[in-house]
Amino acid sequence: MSATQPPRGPSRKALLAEVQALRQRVAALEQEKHDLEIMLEMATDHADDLSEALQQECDDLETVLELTTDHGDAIEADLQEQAEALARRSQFIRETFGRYVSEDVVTQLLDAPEGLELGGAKRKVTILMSDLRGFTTLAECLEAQEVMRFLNRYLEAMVDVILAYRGTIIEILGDGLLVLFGAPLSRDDDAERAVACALAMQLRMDESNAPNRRAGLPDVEMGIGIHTGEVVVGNIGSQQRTKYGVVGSAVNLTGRIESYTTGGQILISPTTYAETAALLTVSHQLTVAPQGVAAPITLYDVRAMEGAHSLCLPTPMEMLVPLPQALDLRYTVLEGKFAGSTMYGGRLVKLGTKTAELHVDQPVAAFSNLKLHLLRPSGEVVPEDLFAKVVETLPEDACGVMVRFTSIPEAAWTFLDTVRRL
Amino acid sequence: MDIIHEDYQVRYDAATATVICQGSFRLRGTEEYAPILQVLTAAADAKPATLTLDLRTLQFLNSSGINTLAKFVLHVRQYNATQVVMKGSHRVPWQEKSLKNFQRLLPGLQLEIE
Repeated sequence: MSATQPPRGPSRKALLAEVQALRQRVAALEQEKHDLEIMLEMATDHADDLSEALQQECDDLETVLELTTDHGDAIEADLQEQAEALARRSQFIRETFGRYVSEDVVTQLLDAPEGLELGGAKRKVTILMSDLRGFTTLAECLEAQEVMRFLNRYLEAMVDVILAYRGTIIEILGDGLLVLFGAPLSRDDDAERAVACALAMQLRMDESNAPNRRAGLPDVEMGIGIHTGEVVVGNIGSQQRTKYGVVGSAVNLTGRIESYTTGGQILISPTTYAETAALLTVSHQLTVAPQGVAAPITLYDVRAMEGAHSLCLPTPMEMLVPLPQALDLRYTVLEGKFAGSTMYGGRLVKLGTKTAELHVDQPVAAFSNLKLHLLRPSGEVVPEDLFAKVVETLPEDACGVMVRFTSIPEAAWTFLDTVRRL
Repeated sequence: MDIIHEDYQVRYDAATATVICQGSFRLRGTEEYAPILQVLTAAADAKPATLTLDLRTLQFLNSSGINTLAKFVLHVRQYNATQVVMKGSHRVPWQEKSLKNFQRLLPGLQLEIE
């Protein structure tokens, strides 16, 4: 056996080289592993960042959504409150005006609530006042229930007409009416509608009288005064009770004009006439000097109207028949609602259905109201008072007057009927 | 750049860095609100120390409008250096509640309700 026998397999040198190469490979792999770990870490961090940003965005969107919803809730609550306030206001307007103005006026008021000054406003209006003649006498002949039935029938018809002509009923006082045209809403044709309304009201009186006429009772007639002027309108009253009302001297003057009318008549003032003249048929004019008015004013007795509202009152078939023998009478002049204390004598010389010509011992002024007692040829007084208004003083005779009966009690009616047939 | 409309106005006063919104914002959707948002973001992009949004006479703001204001608040939030002041009024019922909500998007937002 020899010790110098050469070794078998790879040499030591080659092995060392291989080990070296393996070491290098391990180091490279470790580096790669390290890099990958860093890359993984970076990616994870980045994902975390992204996720955080997304979360933030998501949170913001949720907040914006809540914000929008909350805002919507706030607006809805506010709108609800406004709607309730508006509903309360509508209710108020309906309660204040609903009964006395037409539905379309209520609607207009609701459409323009700001334009409406309920607190009080000065404005030009046309005022209509009406009153019944002979109603007191009729009321005395009738049972209380009958009186109410007549009044309700009459008022229902009048309110119907007034609302149709867009009038605002301010007051119903017994048998009298106070109506405005031009408040709460003014229109260009306020004066025209007021006059047309008056004609229509007169034409409807027949209907109110019909049942009484069938029962043999005398007709009730209506006088209407109309004036155009400035007034203050608005809610008047205390906290407990307020109503839509009107004040002003124009209202007082309308009342005076109305007091000059006889049954079936419509008298209008110069201011109303100025706005409607072209459309009107006026039967005559009269000059009056009402209290509280500086100069005398001319009133116009309206019989008909043309244009948009074509209305005409029937011509009164009034024929005065001279009596073969004058009727003796006694009279006093009424001052306001009270009879004067002095009785004068006179004679009834001509007689129609509702008018008569008298000769009086003392001159009386036009539009005076007289309380009369008729005397039978025997000299006996016909019972109950007869009322008449002086509609004209006759120019040719200082003591000759034309009167129109405003109230004829049953006994006098029967007596005059007998006289007419003679 | 001011916006003057019959129903609303948006005015930017560069001297005081104040945007004043008045009237009623009733526009429809993002598209119609774009010009208003542009005025608001432009004011923010000038990066003033304090930016005031005066809404005291803005009577009405719809939902798209509140969205637009929210977008503005989110936009200005990126500029940490700008302090945002919102002025509102008790007389305009929606403002008290809705304006306070913007602080949820931008806690540093200063509210002045008079």
